Amino acid sequence: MPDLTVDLGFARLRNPLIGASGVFGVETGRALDLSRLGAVVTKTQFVRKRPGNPLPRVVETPGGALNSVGIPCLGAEHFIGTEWPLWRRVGCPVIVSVGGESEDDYLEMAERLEEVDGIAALELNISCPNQEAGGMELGADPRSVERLVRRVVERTTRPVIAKLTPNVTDLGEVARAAEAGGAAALCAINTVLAMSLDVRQRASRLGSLRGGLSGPAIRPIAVRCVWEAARATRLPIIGTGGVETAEDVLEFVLAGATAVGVGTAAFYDLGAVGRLPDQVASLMSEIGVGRLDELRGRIQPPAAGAVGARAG
Amino acid sequence: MTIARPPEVAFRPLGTDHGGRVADRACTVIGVEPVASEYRRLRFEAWPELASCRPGQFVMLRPLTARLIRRPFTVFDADADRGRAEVVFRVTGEGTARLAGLRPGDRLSVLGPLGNGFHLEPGRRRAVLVGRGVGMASLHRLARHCLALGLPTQVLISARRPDLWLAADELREDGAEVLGVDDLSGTSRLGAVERFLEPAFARPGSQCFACGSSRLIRLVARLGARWQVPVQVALEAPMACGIGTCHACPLRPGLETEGHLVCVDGPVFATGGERVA
Repeated sequence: MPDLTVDLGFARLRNPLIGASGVFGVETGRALDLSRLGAVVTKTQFVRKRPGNPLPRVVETPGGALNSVGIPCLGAEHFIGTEWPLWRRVGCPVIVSVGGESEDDYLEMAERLEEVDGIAALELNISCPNQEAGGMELGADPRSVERLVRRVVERTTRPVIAKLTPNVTDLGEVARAAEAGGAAALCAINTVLAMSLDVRQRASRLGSLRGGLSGPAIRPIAVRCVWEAARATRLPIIGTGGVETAEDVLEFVLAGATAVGVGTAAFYDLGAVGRLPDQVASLMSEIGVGRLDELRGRIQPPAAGAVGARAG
Repeated sequence: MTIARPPEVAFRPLGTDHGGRVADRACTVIGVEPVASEYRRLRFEAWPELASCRPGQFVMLRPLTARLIRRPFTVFDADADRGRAEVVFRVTGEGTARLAGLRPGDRLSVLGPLGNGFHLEPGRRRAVLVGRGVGMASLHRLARHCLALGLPTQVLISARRPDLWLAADELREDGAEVLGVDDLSGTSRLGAVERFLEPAFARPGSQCFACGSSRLIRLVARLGARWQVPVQVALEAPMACGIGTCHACPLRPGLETEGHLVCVDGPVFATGGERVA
């Protein structure tokens, strides 16, 4: 039986699968035993209440989903008083995703969460493409990332994960900035900034003009980003983006990920998400991998003379 | 999918259906057949909790082989003894087209049962059902349930054309008083519908259930307030998860609290009283 456990440095997980932010709630437990996962990340929490974006908020696109939900949120008091006690019972480590409309918002939320026991880590959402301020705007600038991560790390006792956006020219630079700021791990990637238009209506298919693309359509982008982040830093990486099958999970590990997030698939195949840990174990046996460390980052060079190995 | 949710009507939750177990399973398709000209009736083998779900509860479906976001459908009919359920829908896009193309023996990915369903209020002895178009799919099982309980049941079915009256004949055979109205003949005009509905609302002990168009929802909400008749409305909304996570289906988006979610706080809401959120 292969060893599925992974070590993120700040936590050991029973398996590499992490329920990604925005896709898993306490209510997901009605249909899936969340203790089957290695860990789960909450929806992004803000200090203050905030409304979401106009409808429609989720539309299907080829191989994926485009969303502009806008992270509606009931605020720190509601999360800490009402929601967190329910999270404590899900049976796996829970990472709290923290958002902000300004740097101070992130700091305030991180401080508020110090009142709460049992949080495995904070994941800074500095990569949401659907926020007016904060989010991706902040996360695309290496100097802002380093400064924010450093200030949060100074104010929290929790390990800090920086969730990176793919919507940058040099992801490695942002990853290094997060590492310099003191991040304990990276999560790559958040959704890809995208648009989908209806020519008959001459309008966006979403209630907002732009949204974030997720699902299998972005998996190759995510794999590339994980590889870049792994080359740029020594931090453990949670590889996320379009994971559906055990093969996808191991693809992210091969690219350099320590753990692997699963997101959009939970919207269309929650049952399959629950079966993933066993399937990863089977696939590891099949390809002769006893521990995930044996596979991580071990990409073979392209075979000599392979046609099309280089694009441009 | 139509989103009939007139902003001037106040919707109240009937009691959120949190807590019940939801299953995500692969089910075998029994068959897909055309019904009422433009609609499709998809029958599949269902597990016991789904085959015995409440009238008004729904499922999220996709063909097992299609990696698509599932689409929500109210359970049109269910047979607990034979372990079957069915939904009725109109082909409006890729998701419904793929479902319409399923053949007997194909596999279906099913998440359910979801949502709260209709509540028959004790002491209300007659049911008035008002459906427009494929919205009748949300009311059909409730109509049969009312008839099985021996409640006098009136059903007003509105559609663009008479051939689109869903389940009119079978409900009539089951003992319902069915009135079909349509746009072609002009009988579906609001004034005409109101003249038919008003005496039904005026009768003591009535309770009304509606689904399908903003116009009709406004009308029954108004009549309910006038005659002190409880009105429950099944709302539709595009959604991705069906269990309250994705926030694609808030009743009142943009409000600080988001109002309630159609998937878990509904899809059935009461009209009248204090505005939600």
